[in-house]
Amino acid sequence: MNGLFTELPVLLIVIPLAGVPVLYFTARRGLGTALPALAVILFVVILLSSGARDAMHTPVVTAAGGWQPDLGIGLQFDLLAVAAMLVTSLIVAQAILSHDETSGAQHFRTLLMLLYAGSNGLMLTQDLFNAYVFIEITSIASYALVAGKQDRGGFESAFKYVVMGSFAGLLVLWGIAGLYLTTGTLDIQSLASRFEAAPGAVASLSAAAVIAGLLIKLGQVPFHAWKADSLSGASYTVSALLSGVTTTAFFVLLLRVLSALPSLTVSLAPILTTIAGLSIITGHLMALRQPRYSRLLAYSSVAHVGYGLLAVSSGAVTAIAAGLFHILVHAIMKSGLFFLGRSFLHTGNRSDRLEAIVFPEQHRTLHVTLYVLLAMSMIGIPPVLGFTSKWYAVLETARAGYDTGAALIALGGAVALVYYLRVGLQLVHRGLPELSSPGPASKRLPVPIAGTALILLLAAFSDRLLGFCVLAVVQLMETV
Amino acid sequence: MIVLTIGITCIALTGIGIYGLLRRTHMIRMVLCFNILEAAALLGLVLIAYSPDARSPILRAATDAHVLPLPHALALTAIVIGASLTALMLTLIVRVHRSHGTVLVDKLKDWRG
Repeated sequence: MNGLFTELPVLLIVIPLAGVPVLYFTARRGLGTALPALAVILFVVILLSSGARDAMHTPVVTAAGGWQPDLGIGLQFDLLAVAAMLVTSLIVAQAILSHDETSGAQHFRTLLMLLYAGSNGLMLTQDLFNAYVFIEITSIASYALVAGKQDRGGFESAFKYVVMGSFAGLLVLWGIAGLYLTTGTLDIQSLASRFEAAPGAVASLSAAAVIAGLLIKLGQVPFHAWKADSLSGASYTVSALLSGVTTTAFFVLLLRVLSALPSLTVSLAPILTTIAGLSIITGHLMALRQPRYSRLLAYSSVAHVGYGLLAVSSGAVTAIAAGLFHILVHAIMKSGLFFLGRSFLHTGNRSDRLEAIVFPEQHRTLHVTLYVLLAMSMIGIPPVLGFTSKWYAVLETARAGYDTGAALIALGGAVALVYYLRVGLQLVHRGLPELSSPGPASKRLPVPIAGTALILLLAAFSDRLLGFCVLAVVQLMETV
Repeated sequence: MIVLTIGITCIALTGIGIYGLLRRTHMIRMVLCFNILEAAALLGLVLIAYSPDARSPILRAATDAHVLPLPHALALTAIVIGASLTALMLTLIVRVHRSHGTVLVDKLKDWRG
């Protein structure tokens, strides 16, 4: 392995981070930011693809600055990171393309690059305190992006989000301090061996605090309300990022923490299963009664993350892999639905209330087709990728002995059918409203087309994709 | 004794911070409660490093007993993050006040969803 690949995990964080000031100054000078931002993502994806072959055999572990863990910070580039970062890179690229070259869009891309750097760091780091720093980088970029809508709802939503997010961040910090006190290490790999020997209650409570902080960040019950409030106040593009990129990054970090603490995971399994089950029920039932498109999708996300958590809490390798697979697929399809929501704005209507949303006359059939395919994927209807990911989640959760959980996942699809059908019928039957100043025709339709095409095409390779996730989880278990 | 005092202070600050976050409706006070909670976490980090007979972690001789330097470095980083978050929260409060004319969360129309 040559020098470049040894430093690969560092580059995957540093390159987007270096892109932040570059994009900021490009935006200030009034130059386009789309191409530089896309170039950064392309470079990251090339690095990811070229390093994936090496990661297949053994993870690339880098000690940042030459300082070995425990003193230094370890970054691990493994199959888990490859899978998750490919998905998040795709969503970030879609978000960049979904905006026109306005000054707002240029500042948006600068913050987006910060979010991208932070989420990459979250998925690569092996150091708990470093993870806390990346949690805050990702979160601060998210708060600013939510506020970026520059209206009443945006500021209010951003404040709610920042209060809840900061509380979760502090909980993680408390947990990390407690884990360091009892185990003397911040390195996730060393934690795996030292946690067992650590004095009982403090170590367990600290680890539980870290896990609780991450569950709040993932919007799980009982801390789920902020998710709908934040996503409904943000623009559709930012909502796509929050439900795709940040959710995936926090889920990957949760997987790393849980895999390092197997004994605690077993003890916490009943609690995690209960939280996941309640999130599935609450998410779907709340989605049923939402009057707004973005809030409906947000509550649906609460339920889908619950699917992933339920599969992970079962502890079986194949179930964890199925949970991871579903979270990655969910990121693509949910962000696709949010990107598609941008088309509602092209009718000149700013409201996302269900009785008001309508696709523009131009390419209306194509819009409806995209919605139907994405909704089918969310519900779990063949032949799209959402069906296979959900099928594996049900199957593997049941195999792990969680029959009730598997039934909940399957029933969740039936409830989802009702609310997605309600929106679909609205979009198909409702005529174009009489508006005084209709907006410009959508020039960004290829963005949701790309996501939809992907969930159709990748459905043919579901077995291989699940196999890749199984390999990633096995590698994760072996390295701790 | 000093460990006990700091420990009790730490727990008391956490209680005050959580109580304030749950009970207060004034946005500025909510930010202050967040800062109190953060101070409790920082105090906890310093407490982890504390050792009664140790000096500050600047080695004068190899045999010097010194406190753990790592939690102090962590506390410094957490202070920077906390300051950034506070600045962002205050900025948002200014914008909310401009758009809604209030900083009381119970007066905000959409606060409860």
